[in-house]
Amino acid sequence: MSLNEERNNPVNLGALYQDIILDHQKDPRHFGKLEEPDMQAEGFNPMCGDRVSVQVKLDDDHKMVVGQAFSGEGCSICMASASMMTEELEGASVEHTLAQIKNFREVMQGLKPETSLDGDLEALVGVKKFPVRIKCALLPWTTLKSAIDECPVIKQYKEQSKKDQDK
Amino acid sequence: MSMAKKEVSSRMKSLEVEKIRDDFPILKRKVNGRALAYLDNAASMQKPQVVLNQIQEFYSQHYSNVHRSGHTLSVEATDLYEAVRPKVKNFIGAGSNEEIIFTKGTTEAINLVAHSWARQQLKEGDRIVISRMEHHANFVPWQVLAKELKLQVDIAELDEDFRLNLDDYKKLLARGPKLVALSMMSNVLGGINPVKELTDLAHEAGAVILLDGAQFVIHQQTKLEQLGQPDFLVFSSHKIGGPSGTGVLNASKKRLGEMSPYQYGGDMILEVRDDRITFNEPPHMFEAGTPNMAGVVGMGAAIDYLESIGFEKIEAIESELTQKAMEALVSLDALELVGPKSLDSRGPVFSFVIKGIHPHDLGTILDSHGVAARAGHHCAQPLHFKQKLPASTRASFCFYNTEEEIDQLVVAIQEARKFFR
Repeated sequence: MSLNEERNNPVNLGALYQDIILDHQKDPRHFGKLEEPDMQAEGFNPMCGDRVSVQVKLDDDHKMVVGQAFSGEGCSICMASASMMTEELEGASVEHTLAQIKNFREVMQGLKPETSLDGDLEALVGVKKFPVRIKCALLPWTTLKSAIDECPVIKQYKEQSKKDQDK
Repeated sequence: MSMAKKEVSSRMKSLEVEKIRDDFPILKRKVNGRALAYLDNAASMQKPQVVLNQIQEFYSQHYSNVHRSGHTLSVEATDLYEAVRPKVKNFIGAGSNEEIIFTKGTTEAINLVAHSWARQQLKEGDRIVISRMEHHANFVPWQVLAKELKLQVDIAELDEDFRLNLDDYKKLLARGPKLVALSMMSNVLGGINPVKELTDLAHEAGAVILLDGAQFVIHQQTKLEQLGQPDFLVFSSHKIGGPSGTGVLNASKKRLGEMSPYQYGGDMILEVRDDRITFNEPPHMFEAGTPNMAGVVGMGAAIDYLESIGFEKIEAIESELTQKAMEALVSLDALELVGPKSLDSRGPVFSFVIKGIHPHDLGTILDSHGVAARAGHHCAQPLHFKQKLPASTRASFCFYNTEEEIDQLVVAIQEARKFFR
């Protein structure tokens, strides 16, 4: 199919704006700020002006998530994706979260089957049909990834375990 | 005019627009199963067939490098390329061909002035005046230069109707700026500035003025004399129906004498020895390297095309379109217009926000209806930050757009509201 023919077909907006997505957009979970987060980062999409900030609180061992919040301003896809992400974070380990971020990114980029997503997140696979919107869905997750990567305690922890391995 | 007469004139106009639309092959395209309503003209305009033909002919019949070789093709290519200079000169009513410098576009033209004129002429403590409505292309070069040379950039603010605040502008001029750089028409707000007055005031204050005509030149006739003889005027080919990657810097003779080369290389020199260089004369001095030849030749065809329609007709079509689009948009109760509501000195560019719908979501829904509009900050972040808007949606029309396309836009907006109720 030529580019023109493909683009000439009508678009199914319902695939993008599923009820679950609109529900998260209207009633975002964990929207706000934490008082003393262990990890935080801000993500920005200069093309559309989406801005998301993600905060996470960890337990004393810095292994498990005990609190999470997001704030910012963006389109429904970005906000719904952030809201769903914070639900996934609930009680998760940092390690599991990193794996989930990778999984979500790979599904959105078409590297993994859509069935690799479950729960509310499944609703976001419709975004794949709208290539310019994939970035919107990914922004909260890449922001969370940089929050984890930039977290001093996690960095220290990683370096230590690398040293232990080298020994 | 009586109602009946108005009706007849309106119908005649729409017949004329139908004829004009036949000149633009892409306007017949379907997008997402709908007829394309191309409302992103402020970002870039579509190309008439005559421009496409001219480019094709240039490449298939006359292609060679310009200003270099003595063979027939090179002479033909040079003639075609250089024939565009007087065309542009007449288009804007400039004094001579040497005042017309071909650039990559508006952005490069402004950067050229920043580098070749401002960097040489301004010194620490000097001031530059710009306005709140500037595109990044007329914002960032001055910010960067100011940082480098320790200059002060003053921003003239807007009034409540999103027009340039003249009192603020005069106040900033009283501080004795060396340079004023202003857009003639905002790419977000759609308002057209009182350019002659702004130029005269700048000159009275002893400042040099650069006018960014990127948005303006497609909507109204542009003649330097009516603009108060600005020192610099810049615009892009792709926004007037010509190819992208081409644009114009018009510099007055006086300013040309104060400018040094922009880039160094082929075509901009007369003689190079191991230990000395003689630069070429303007405008070639500012056109180093092989230029976008087909782009310039195509721009010439675009200018011919615009002049064949005539700005009288273009302005008549667009003023009706502006009025109808304004009526249709402001009647939508959730819509907040980001731009002047009055129709005087206003072009058919409409940015807006719809309560409860993010512009990016609206953009997707418009697209699904075949409506090409832009969602974002339109390369004017300082304006959006000042208005506390993360983004807006922009529908920008030109003389080939129709009332049916306004309806298509309105229906799509209403559809979007159903989704996000």
